[in-house]
Amino acid sequence: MNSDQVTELRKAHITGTMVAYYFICHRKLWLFAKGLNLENISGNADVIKGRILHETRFNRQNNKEVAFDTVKIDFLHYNGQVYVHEVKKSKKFEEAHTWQLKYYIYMLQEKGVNCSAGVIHYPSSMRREEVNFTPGDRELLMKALAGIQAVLSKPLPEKKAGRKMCSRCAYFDFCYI
Amino acid sequence: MRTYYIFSSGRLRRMDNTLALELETERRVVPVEDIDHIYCFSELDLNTRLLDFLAQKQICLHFFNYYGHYSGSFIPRESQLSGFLLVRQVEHYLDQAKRLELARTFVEGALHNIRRNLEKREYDDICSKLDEIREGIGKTASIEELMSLEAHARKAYYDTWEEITGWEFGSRSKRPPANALNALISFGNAMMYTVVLKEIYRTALNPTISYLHEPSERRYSLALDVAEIFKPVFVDRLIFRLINLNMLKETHFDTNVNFVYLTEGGRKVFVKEFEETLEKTILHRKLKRNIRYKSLVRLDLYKLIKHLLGEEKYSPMKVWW
Ligand code: SF4
Repeated sequence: MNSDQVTELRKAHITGTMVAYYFICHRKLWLFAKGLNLENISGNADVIKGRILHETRFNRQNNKEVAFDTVKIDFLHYNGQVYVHEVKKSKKFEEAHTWQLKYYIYMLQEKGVNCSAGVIHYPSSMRREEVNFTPGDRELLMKALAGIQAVLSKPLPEKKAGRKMCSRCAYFDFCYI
Repeated sequence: MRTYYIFSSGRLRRMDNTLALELETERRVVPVEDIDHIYCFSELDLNTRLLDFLAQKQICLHFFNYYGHYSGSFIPRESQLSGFLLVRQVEHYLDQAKRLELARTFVEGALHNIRRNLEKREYDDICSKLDEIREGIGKTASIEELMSLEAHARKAYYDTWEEITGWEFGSRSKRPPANALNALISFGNAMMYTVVLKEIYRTALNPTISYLHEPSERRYSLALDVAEIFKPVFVDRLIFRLINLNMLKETHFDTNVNFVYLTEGGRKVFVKEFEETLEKTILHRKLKRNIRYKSLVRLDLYKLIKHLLGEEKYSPMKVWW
């Protein structure tokens, strides 16, 4: 991918959430990206729990939340190297969360920050997963970003997934009504 | 989430992270976490600090005047915006064929639900008249034609009200309502409007762009469009029940020189039962789970969004019970 294409992607305002959704459900990605965000209005207990968790988990840590461009990072840890941290409520979508984190790392690298690793925290299961960003990841991530743009350029969202995970998704009512 | 109704005059203010209603003799503190609407039927003093707090907590404040007429709402700043959906909404308004298609759907849904109210009471002749009118919906060539068709249907519907309720009705009179039944309908419709409005604000739909009603109406007319579908089920049925069970009596109305309005006691009876109606649950056949009546509004908005996206034609909520 050349630098023109990268600029192009920035313009498309791809957020970390969108990267994660790309690996979860293309329909969800499309709806979310078009501003049809149902996360805030769903009474879905999981969604609310996730939000509260996100808002409160690291309050006592003395680290700032750092945000730039479309990226939001829970906190950065300075140990010679910068680490990206993300808090997630369950390991169900681990692959998606890993790519979300790798996207943040990539964005930091683009800014010239020395960062090649991060940690996903799962406080509810008291687990943490280390994520390392490899050169191969960069290529895969570029493919995913292009894939995201392809999904978003479609006039209609993808058909509903029809999978078991739909029942716990904030978009369930919307998709199945 | 709950709805609070304020009937006594006083001051509503923010007190740290709660709301305090200060009356002459007492102070009531309400935790904000579970409020989503506040209806105010009395004189209240309030300040911008309160409104800012309500906006932050996504709470709507609706005002009714002394006579129970709806004055307006404070609605928190839109948190959901979608330029994409807005463009589609406008497109469906500007394209006459698309607008008419949606407008017809609203009327079709309303008439289905109206018919169901009569069907249960075995008004066979009026039901077949409504069927005839419904068949004409598809042939209407303009919004005006559609509106007049709807007016015909409504007249036939309201003609049964004196018999159903045993109360004087005459014809529908709005500003001002000429008798108790009309006052009740106006009040109930205003309540329904606010419920729809709140749900619209939770989606990315723009409440000012409507299809059956003209967007130029001073109100958020999309809420008027959608309320048409729900009024027969949520409001009319409730009115029949309250009268037939003798829960509302002539004494709940004040007869002014020129018009009639619900007294505080009458409003209390109505909103209590209205609230219970909204909280009732029913097994949804498509989603295969129990959902609240009030969620039916949200689901219809989802269907409307899908229609606007071009994904699936909107089919309004048709009462099945
Ligand atoms: S309900 Fe299913 S299809 Fe719809 S967005 Fe969620 S996961 Fe995708």
